[in-house]
Amino acid sequence: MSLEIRALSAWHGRARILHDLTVSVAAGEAVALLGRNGAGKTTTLSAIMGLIPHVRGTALFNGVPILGLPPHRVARLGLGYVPEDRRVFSDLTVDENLAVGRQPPRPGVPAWTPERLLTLFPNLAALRRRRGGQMSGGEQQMLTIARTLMGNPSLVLLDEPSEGLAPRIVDQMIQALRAMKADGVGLLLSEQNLIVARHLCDRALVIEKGHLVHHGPLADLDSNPAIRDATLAP
Amino acid sequence: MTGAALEARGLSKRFGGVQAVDAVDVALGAGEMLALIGPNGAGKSTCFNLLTGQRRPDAGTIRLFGRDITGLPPRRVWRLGVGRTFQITATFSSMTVIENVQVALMSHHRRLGALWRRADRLYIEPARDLLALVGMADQAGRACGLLAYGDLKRLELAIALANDPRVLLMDEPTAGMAPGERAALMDLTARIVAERGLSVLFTEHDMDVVFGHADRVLVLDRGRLVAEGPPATVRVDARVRAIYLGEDARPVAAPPPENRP
Amino acid sequence: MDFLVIQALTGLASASSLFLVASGLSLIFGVTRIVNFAHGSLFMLGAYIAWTLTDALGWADHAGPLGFWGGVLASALMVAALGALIEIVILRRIYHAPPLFPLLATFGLALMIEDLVRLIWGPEDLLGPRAPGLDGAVTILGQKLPSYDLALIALGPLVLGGLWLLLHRTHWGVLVRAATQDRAMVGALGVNQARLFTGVFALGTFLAALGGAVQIPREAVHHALDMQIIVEAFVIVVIGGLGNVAGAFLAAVLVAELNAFGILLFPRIGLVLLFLVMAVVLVLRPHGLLGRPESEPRAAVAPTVDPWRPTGPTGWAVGLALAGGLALLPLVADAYVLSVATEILIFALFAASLHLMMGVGGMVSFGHAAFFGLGAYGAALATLGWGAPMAVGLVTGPLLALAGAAVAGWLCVRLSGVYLAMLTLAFAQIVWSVVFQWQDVTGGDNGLLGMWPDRWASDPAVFFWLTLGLCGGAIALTRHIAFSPMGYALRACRDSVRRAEAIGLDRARAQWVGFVLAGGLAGLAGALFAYLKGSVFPDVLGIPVSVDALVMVLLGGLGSLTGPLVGAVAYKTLAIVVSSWTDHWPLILGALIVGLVIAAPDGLTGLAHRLAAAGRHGRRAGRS
Repeated sequence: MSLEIRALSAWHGRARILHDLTVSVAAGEAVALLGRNGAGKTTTLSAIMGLIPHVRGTALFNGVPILGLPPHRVARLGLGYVPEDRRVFSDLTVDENLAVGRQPPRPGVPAWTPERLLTLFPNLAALRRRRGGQMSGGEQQMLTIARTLMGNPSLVLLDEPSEGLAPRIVDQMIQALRAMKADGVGLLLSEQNLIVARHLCDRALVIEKGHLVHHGPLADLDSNPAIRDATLAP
Repeated sequence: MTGAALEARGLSKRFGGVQAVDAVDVALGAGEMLALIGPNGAGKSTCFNLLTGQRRPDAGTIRLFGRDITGLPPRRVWRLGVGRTFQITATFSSMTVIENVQVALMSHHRRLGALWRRADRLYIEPARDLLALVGMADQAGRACGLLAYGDLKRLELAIALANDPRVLLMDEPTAGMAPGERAALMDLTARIVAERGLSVLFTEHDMDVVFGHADRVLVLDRGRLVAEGPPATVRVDARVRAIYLGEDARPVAAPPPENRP
Repeated sequence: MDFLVIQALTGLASASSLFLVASGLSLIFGVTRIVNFAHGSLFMLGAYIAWTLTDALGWADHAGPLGFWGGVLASALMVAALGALIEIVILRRIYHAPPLFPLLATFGLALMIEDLVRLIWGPEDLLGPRAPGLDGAVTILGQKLPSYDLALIALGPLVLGGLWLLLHRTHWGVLVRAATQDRAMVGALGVNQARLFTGVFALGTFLAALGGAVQIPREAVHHALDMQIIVEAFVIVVIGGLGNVAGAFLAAVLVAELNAFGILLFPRIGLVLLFLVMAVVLVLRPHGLLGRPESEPRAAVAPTVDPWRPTGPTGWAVGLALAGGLALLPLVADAYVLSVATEILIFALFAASLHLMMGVGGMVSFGHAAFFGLGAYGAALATLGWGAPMAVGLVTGPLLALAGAAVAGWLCVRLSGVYLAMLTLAFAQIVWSVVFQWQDVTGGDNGLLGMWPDRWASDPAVFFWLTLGLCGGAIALTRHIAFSPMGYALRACRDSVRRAEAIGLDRARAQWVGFVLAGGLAGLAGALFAYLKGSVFPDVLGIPVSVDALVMVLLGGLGSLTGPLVGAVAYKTLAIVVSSWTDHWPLILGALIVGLVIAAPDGLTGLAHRLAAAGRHGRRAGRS
């Protein structure tokens, strides 16, 4: 078992956003975290990363308790994070952005190098000296994922990677994520719709107002239109 | 086009070495819902910011019902009857929901300079009406900072309607919303447009929203207008498919077989 | 002509030291978002320790150039270690607090260091040693220039180059630049933020201390160096662009040359010239010469989930009961207690006026003393100059402050955030230097003496009642303004400029009105203060008074309308009580401020709310 979360609750100020969520991701598995905007997807992922101060519950990553650890300790255990709004370092070049993500190789996980990453994201190859701020949204999204992979993670949390991207760019990104998965990198992917999830994920968790309302094979959602329509896309 | 609500001709804007918007013509007809689409970096947001006065165009003219508004600051454009919503919601987070709308109403009636009156008693009824219009009457007293995202978007719409605008500019009105909510918000917008005789220009990434709600679609690529027409035409336009939608039809319903569990 | 060249070279030599300080300040701000008020104090400490090592311990005499430069370097390293300690023990605990709280903590530190320096090294100016090997002079175009100045001229570009290499060619430097843009993301990528921050703070401190240490052969070391240098460093950082090291270098050269030539051209208004240049730069380039706009300026006030509610009947009843209770004070208190109480009331109004600007209007001011002082001088000039009665002085004072605020505000509302705050500081320093140097009118350093209240109000009790009435009324007015349409306009601009402009609000105008109102009310406080003390000195315009106001507002908590009153009463009482016990009140007050910031980052009212909530929680838990 790679990530094992039990009874995760989180608060923003006085408002309780998450209510006793249970989430698990096996090694190398891709799981979709689905739900409407405001359902608590971003909060779930940032709580796992240690970016939310007020949390309760337990979270084990490869057997190590991570809840309450500072983000850098969580990241160093091999948990990668691709935030919702991309957050590339706009003054830094592509190479420098990648350098910030660099961590020592991890035993049992294939080590990424800038060269290897550029074969996965070929459109970044021509831009290595370009500053992050001068890239298009799609290029920035690729760079964020590549930057996270520089830390040689065994599991990556992706927060709505397709949001705001043109459909063609989304297709390119799906290709890259599939290649990562084929390399044995686990994915926990938050999305509002099923488009990206269908291409990558085996299982789905559906949350609504901070509660887990459904979990099971992705195909179940198709056979259970009540849940799908109440919580998700048509 | 004569009788256009909002008309821009030859709109251009350059940032450093990048020609963000290049001689774009936009004509928004009265009562029309016009969508502006295009890939990221195509110049949609810049176009928007030029039309609302947030930025000044390098070249081109903008007319609102025939009146030249080129280069006017946002607040003047607003006074002339242009409401807007933002891609990333912008509301007054330290106020209650109804206070947000009241401030907009006070501004519309030019009452914000007053120092002696109690503001919270001004325009309560019109503010309630606007909140009811967007379906948020029951949340009037809540702190704006506590609203769910979809509700913030609806609040933005209520604020944008406070000056009784003739033209509404909506920058990605459904960004960040779940698909079900998207349809609901756009249905609501369409209803208000019909009731009030508004004209709406909106940018959008969600093709279901665009093709489901726009009367006409403009397609931008690298700052230039590359296609224009009713949704059905634009949807099958080969050039648009190449630059924006991708060569293949979107596999929305059929996942690749190897990923089925 | 030859003389001008030498003057220019002397300016360049001064620029090096200024650049060292300013680049450190800029680096620290860039990464930690802390405006380090104690930066000048660390500069001063660097100078003192270097003096001790090279002069008092005789390193320069015994070991020649090696001893001198060794001493300079050792001093900078020692202060850097202290900087690291400060970061680890104090600042690390408060990074998550609202942005102004770390500033408050560093001000507390500045108070402590200034007092400690006085304790350790005494109040006298200390003359530094000459640098062995560089104690001669070179002749350039027939004029003599100290060799040491030449060495300093070389030092600036050398450090600039070194910093550039460090930031662009090392992994650590890339991390620092990344953290300057998005520190949380750097953490999520596995970088230990805490260690990075400590490193940056130590580096910035090292640069400040080095800047101080290399100055000792040129300038006497004294304990007012801290405030003198911090103002210049602020000006440089703002002109150059916050967080930009190359900009700091350019601006340091500009400022040093202005100083060098300003003294020649306008001996009496050198400081004014400096600030005028700053104003011009900021109007033309609001983010400094090489600075870039911040992507998302962080609001001074965090979005609240508890919107302000207008004062209800209970609130008015409590307020009136409080005022009524205070009105009974003269029946039980003696003249001393009454004068203390009067002073506290005056400062409560001063704090409330700053809160109107900061809490309601979202404009942070580092120079609110300007308007307090203008109010005091406006009253004094009417009373002493025209022999006008107090009633007139209480009008001319606020009017002068109002006029000053109208001018300052016109400039300030073009900026936002830290830039606006630093411009207010600059304005306050201009006013201070005008008052200080315009001796014929203001009496300069000697002040204006003998302006007592009119006979009818000369009794302490009557003056107390008068102050209570005026300050109470004015405070109620600030509260009323917060709930007036104008108040909503100000809060709208504070919450979201984008939205405010999109609903037709003229942001600059609204903020200007808020600025002027706040200035006028501060002027009323200043005028009352002048009559209470019977005299006015340039001190009322000084940085410490501005910071007093800032501390009171932040102590009380920005997010609450009662905050500034609580803060003013707490701070002023503390200051008066502590300074009656000991001469070292800056030290104790500084430590208290630091302690309070760590214990209550949301201010005293926030602390009270949290304690109350914990109490409720405890009771509920007890019941269940």
